[in-house]
Amino acid sequence: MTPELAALALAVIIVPIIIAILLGTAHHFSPKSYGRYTHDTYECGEVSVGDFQSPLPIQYYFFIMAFVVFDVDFVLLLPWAGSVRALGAGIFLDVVLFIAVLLGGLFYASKKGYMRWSSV
Amino acid sequence: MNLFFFLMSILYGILKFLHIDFVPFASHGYPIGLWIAYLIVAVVEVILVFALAMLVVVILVYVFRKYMADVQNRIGPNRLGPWGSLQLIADVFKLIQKQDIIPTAADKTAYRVAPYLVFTPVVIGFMIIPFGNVSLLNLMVINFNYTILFLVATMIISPIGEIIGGLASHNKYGMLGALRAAAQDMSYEVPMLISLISVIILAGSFNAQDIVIAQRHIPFVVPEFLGFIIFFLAVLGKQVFPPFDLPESASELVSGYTTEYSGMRYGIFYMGGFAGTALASLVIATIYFGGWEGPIFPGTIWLIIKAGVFMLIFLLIQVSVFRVRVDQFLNMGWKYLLPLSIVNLFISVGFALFAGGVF
Repeated sequence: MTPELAALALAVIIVPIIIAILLGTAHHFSPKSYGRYTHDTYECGEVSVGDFQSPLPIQYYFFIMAFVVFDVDFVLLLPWAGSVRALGAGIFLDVVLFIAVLLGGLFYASKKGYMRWSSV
Repeated sequence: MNLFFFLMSILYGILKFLHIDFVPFASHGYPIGLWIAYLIVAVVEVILVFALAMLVVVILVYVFRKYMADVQNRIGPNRLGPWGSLQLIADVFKLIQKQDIIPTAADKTAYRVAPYLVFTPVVIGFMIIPFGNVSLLNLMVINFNYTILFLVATMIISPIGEIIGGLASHNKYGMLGALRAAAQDMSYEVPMLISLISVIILAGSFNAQDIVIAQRHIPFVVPEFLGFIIFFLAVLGKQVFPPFDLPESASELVSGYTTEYSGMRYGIFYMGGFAGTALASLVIATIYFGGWEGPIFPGTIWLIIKAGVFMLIFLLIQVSVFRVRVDQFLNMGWKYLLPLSIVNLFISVGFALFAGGVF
């Protein structure tokens, strides 16, 4: 660990402290009025109706799974990306195969009609 | 030489001159004055970077307001200070006086944490941008081998803060906004990562400084025009700008994930958005337009010019286009941007392997 990374770790501590001072100042100067609806859920001034946890379809469920697959697999390409010139064209063919498998899966899912905005 | 070590050695010299250098307490071979100098410089630099981010936000908000007023045939802020330039300072004082409201229904801890998650990564991102070289002095707060990866990692944390804020509000609009934000993040992040991999392939390095130096003859926007377009669209999606402002679409969801936020907490979200825009412009200027490389002027001025042009382009887009639907954004991300970014990856591998030392 280089000394500069320690400075980075320090930033993770100091920046939230500055924000906390800002928010703390705002809290100190804020008026404290407690009306009947002051701390109610805000819905454009109307009285809130119903629960926020009403059943809600996540219409992009298959996109989430595709995202996990692609995000993880493209992180695996990063070590290769740093040294493409040293590894040469042979390894690049392997990478093409690797990507072809992923894209083939995406194409299949798309043909099956999963990759679209729908309630499953 | 790095700015960090430069300041540190100056401070250590001063401490030594004042005889604040307790060699008897030295541990690990370093005199204790060096540790003191290190700590002070680190704290000062973090505070300086924070001030820089705030300065950029003030300028950007002012320009945005004036420009938006001009487009909409209004005058815009003109009361406070010369040409209304102190309006944002007045706004901060106004926000400080607002009541600090946490809705009773909200998840208190997550509701409080979200603004920190939005703003902190942006400031840390500013520490990693290479701002140029002044003779041997390297104007970069922090420099290590994988800065560009770390930069993108910081850029991806603030949307998570937005999602947490929306879900923790326990508000129907906030919930819908957060779900849309999640859908949007998933669509742009993979193409963004692949465009970045293409840049790394061309530069042969993960270090932002090396990526800038690799563009001294030809900026990467020439071989990677496709990647630049993809990265630009991804940044538009990340910054929740029209045409991709689905998570906070003011005309359908009240204000999306910031519906329940008010006062200074909302101010943090607002400033985080503008600081993120500035950071994204700096990143685009660094990885596609040669960062501080340029003739005649010193490097820092070139970087500011390049990033400033992008900030203006973002503002121009923000006031001039309408919103797409969320399923259109998902389709764009997965069916167009992703295959195109892989084409771009192959193009850049071709340049790296067969263009023979041009890049």
